[in-house]
Amino acid sequence: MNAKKLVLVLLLAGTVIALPYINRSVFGTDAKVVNVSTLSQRVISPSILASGFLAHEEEVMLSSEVIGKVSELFVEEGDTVTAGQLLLQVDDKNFIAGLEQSEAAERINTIDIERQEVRIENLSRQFERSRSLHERKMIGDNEFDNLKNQLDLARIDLKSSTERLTQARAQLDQVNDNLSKTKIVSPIEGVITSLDIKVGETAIASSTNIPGSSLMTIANPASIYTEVLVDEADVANIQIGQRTEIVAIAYPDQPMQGVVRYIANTAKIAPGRQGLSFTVKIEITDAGDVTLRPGMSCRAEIFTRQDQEVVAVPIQALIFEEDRSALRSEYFIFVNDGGIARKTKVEVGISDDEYQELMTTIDDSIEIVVGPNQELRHLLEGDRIDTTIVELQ
Amino acid sequence: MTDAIEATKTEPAGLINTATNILLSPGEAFTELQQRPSKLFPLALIVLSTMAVMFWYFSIVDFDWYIDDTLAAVNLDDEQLETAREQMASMSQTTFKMFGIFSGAIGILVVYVLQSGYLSLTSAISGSGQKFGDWFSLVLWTGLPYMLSVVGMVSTIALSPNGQLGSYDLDPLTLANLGMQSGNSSLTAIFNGISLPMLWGIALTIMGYRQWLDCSLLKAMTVVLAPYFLILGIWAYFALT
Repeated sequence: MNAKKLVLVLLLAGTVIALPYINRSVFGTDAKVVNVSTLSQRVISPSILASGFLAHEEEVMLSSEVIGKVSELFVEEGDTVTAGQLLLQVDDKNFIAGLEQSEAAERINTIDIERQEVRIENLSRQFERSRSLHERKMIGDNEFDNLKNQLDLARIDLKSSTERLTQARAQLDQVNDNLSKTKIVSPIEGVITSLDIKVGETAIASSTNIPGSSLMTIANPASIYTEVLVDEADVANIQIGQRTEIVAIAYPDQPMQGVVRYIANTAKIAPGRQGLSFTVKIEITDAGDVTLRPGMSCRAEIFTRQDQEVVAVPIQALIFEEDRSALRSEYFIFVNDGGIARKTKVEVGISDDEYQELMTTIDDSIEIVVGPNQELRHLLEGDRIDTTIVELQ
Repeated sequence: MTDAIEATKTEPAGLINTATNILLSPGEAFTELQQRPSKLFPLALIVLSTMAVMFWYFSIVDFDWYIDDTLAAVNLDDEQLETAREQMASMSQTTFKMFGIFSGAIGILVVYVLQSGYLSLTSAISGSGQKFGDWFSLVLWTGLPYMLSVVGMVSTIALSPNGQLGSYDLDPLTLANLGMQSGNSSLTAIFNGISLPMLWGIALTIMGYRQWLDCSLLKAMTVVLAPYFLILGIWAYFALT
């Protein structure tokens, strides 16, 4: 090969190889455009998030104790009712017939007793006379014993009739009770939140969830509360009386205020969850403009500590690194060192949704890289940065 | 014509000499290729070097950064962006590496085959004796300036210790990396797609076509550049509208 050509080719390749070096030396590497801010004091409210639903504290689900067709319905869903108010009438024709039957049975038994008593009275007189005659040997032993036996049997019959009367009265009470059960009355003062039966349908005395077994649900609207499930890892931080912010899914922009009122003693595995969780009941102290409806899904943010003012950084400014094999986890922030990003290890404290307390003392004048997230995700120690100072909200 | 070639057949120049001549004395190289249209050497050189560079690139690139950088060039809303990021992140870096290696090599091959097919078709219309294999050899050899891009990529990768190197920044000889920037992302994509070795290769193809078919420069330019102008024209149309 011609040496001159070889030199030219090598020169060409050398120029291409040098091109990125020259480019980098002359123009430098592209600086990453980031936002920086100095540290400031900030109120941090550490909290725990839990999800659940709205429910009524006072709520009853009415079901029928007798089987029968609903003949009358005196309320509609949403009606306000008072304790003892008649709500529903189950057809009582059969029960009234039964009542008449039982009353007749009672009367028959009473008459029977009266007859027995008359008979005993008559036999008693006969017996007294027979005894006198027997003592005077005017009648034989056999005749006297027969009379005595008849009197004893009559007394036994009276006892039997008395018991039958008791039985008939008990039956009457039972029929009366069943008849009274055809009238469904409200056990509490509240609102009909669910009406599950209509006139003409058959009310069924059953505990199983079949049509007709549930008549209606009555709840006291003033007793609505939030029931959430708190993960067992967080429950130690929950205390009665803690401030809570509740957001119903239907009103995502209207947080309600509440207070923790009850923490369950026993953990349970809730449906759809793998770990154990505790039921926490939260009283709604200020519902704002939210129309509360039981069963609504909601999310509660329980503030576990009093609001505190601390030196804090935005959570997105913190870089978390974990080495599981060495059981080591560390937090870092990037600080602006004259246009160069410097990765600095820090200790952190409490946090809320947006900020985390910085335990490490850092000079107020130092600028910390706080965004944008797109750049922060890939920022490396020593990277050139083009900074814009931003005011944190 | 074939008889004339046979009559003036020269001694084999050797593959390295032909490669050097393609860059510095293309006329000599085209004469050599007309007589001995070898293909394996330039094919292996281009394909294997491309695969090697892609392998190195996908080995050192910061994978998370690469995903964000790739998606940053696409117009997507936040939700679509997050979905696309999750989908890309669900693939391993090795999958990306394999995809990059083979798609790069296969892509080059497909372009060369299409170009050869086009040239053999136009030459057949002109009544030339060159077959597809001859044109494929010419296209492969005139693509050799691409090796300068490969050298440039190697140099660029070596200068990126943190792995945050975009695929568009790999080749220092693209028009975009040589300073032609535009606010229009589609135009920038065009500038990213055109490199000096590519233009050099096109120029060599024109020269080779002209020499082999003994036609005018205008005809050679028209034939060789037509598909490029067609593709770039469509591309630019969509970029500017």
